[in-house]
Amino acid sequence: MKVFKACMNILKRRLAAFLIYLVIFIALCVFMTSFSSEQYNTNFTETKPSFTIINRDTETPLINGLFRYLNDHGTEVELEDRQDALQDAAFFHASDYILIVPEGFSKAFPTASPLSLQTVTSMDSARGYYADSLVNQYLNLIKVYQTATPDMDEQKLVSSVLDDLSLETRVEKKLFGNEQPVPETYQNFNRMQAYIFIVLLIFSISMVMMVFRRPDLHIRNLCAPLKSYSFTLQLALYSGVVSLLIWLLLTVTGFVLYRNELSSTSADAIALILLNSFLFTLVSLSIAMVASSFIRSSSMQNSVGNFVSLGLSFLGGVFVPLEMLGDNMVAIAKFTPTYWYITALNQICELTVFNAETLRSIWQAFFIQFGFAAALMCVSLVINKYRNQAESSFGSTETEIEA
Amino acid sequence: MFWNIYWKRILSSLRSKDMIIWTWAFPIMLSTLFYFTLTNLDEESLLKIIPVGIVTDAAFEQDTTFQTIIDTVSEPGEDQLFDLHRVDNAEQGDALLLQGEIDGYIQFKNKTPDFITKNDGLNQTIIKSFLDNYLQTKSSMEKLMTENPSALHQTASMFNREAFTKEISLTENPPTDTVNFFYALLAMVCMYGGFLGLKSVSMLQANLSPLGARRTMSPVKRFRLITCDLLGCITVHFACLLVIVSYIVFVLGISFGSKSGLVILTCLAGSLLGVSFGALVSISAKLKEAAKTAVLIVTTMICCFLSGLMFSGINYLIAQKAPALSWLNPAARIVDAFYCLYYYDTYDRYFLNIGILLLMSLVMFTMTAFFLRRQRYESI
Repeated sequence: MKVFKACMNILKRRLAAFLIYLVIFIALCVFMTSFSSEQYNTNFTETKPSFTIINRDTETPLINGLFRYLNDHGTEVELEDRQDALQDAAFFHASDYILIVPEGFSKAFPTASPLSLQTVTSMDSARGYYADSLVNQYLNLIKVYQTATPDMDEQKLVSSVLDDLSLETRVEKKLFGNEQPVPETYQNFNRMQAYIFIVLLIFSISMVMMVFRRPDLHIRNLCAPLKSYSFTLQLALYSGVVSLLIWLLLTVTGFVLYRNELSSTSADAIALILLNSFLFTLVSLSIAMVASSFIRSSSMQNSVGNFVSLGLSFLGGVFVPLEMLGDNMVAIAKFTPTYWYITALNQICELTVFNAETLRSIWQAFFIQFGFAAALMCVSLVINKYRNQAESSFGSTETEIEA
Repeated sequence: MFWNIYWKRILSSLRSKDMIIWTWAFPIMLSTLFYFTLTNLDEESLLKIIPVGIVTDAAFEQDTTFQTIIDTVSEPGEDQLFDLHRVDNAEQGDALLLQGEIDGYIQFKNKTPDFITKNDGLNQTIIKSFLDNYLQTKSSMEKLMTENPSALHQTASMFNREAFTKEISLTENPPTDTVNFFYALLAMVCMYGGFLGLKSVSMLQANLSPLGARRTMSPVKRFRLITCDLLGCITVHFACLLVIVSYIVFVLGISFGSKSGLVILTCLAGSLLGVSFGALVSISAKLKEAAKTAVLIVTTMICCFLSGLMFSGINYLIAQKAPALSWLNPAARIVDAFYCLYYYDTYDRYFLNIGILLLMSLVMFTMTAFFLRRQRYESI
């Protein structure tokens, strides 16, 4: 097991760089999780748009009532009444709906020519539309009350309207099965995992291959009393062990980070997710094998690692949800293994019923991933066979000793 | 002598494969990937026609007011809100819901519409809000009629809603989610100019490279060597930025606003900053080159992450919660300068950003010059 031990020694020497990638990835996941803390609920929960009211009028019962009503259905974001503060908030979606109450609005409202409220939203945004419909519903009811009961005191009128507005539709949330879906945070972690699998495996496999391809070492190994297949087998063993370690490490990290959210998720869904990520580890391993056939120096290792992992991740929907990619892009994405990993993951996370019909497309995605892994593995074997026979295999390969 | 050193530095920078990959090829690849994957980002938040089911049983047929209202909002046209799927019973509604054909369905129970769905979400909230409005208006109407029957004729038109709001635009260019990613990418390229500065200063220090040792002995003043070298780096890097900006604007069609002159000025300031940053990192004689490169990459990535390269809007969040961190982050300043040009009508904040970038570059150049001057080597 000399070759295997040598591989492990090389990995140990470069462990720091390996760990940096891992730590950054975990930090990123924790950061992302802190943003989305949606808790699954069996009751219906309304989506609350963020809103800002810039009141240039005086404090009147009419405006206070509007604020109370919006606050029940949205989340207030306080902003200064400054042009650039409002512009920035609109651009970065800090507030979905900015409502500017002009001076004299309350006074002019009961008259025949009321002033308009000014709104700032992103063009045709759904959240803006919703908040706007709330404002108009409130003001329309006020207007009706004012017309029908002109003598009513403003304070009483507003409370009557708010009372009417507290009436809500009954909502029934159907579960179609008893299982709770997979939490979004864990799904995101698994999505991002695809990127880190590719990066870490390209990095750890090519690092070893590069050393063994050094011309002097290569020539020396060729005349060593070690059978060629044993040599290859030990390299394969190293690749397998490293892949398994990375898979285990990330799986355990996922469980540790999201243990609370996962406590009530069905074991079947988790098992399917783990099988999916394991298959993708095999795909990443085969990608790493092909990529490392071309890597000759550490700078090349960095660039190939980044280009391949970022390219596949962006195209396959790892960073940007697949629904956001255009139809043409999805057609291209289907040629990447990442697409099938993400598709399987999304489908597993939406599953509420486990039967042959609902699982069919998931098995299909698994099978395609396996196909990718097998095909790429064959390609890497062919490349290596050709390279070993060619004179170019004794060309220049830089390693850290020379660098 | 100036042209000789200056030109050689340019040639050397252009012949380095690493430089070409990281400062030219990598950003072009990333911007292309951004373009293909992020151009639909804005459509994500748009209001789309919501597929909703309705159980057309006897109870529904009885409520003609509701039928009129829901038919009005489902009529094809600009104001269409719902895509109505009529079903005979709740089982059919459930089937559509399970298949994901509809976001929910409406069924009358005890003469009021109930909403049945399987998920939470904005579409579902809008459907619920529509039903709430109907219920609330109906209840108000009934209440007013009992209190004041003479008001009946006035309340008859209650379901015809009046719009009391008017949408205004605060700027000439509309807000968009995509541009920030490209601006952050450019900030990254600016900071990658550090690779050029790092290489250049390594080639000037006798203990870091054989070329540095030879150049230290040459009969040229050190100040002139450094100036020519760094000017060469800035030229190459500035050209690189211009090529990438042109690619993003003309090939990918991403808008930088109409002030092209100031976009070029931002590139120049960014280039100065990147090169001076690399030069400053390189002055340490103790760190190995790999470690210096690592410092450069890690700093660049942290700065770019905080300026919105991975998540758009994080720069705004930091500017709100930790303004000092935002002002000290050079990548955030570059992104903000591009953002001001795209979005603002005034130039105050833009020039403040450029001023900060130039000041940072000046400080870093001065520190580099201070450490490099009169260096003597006892042994190499």
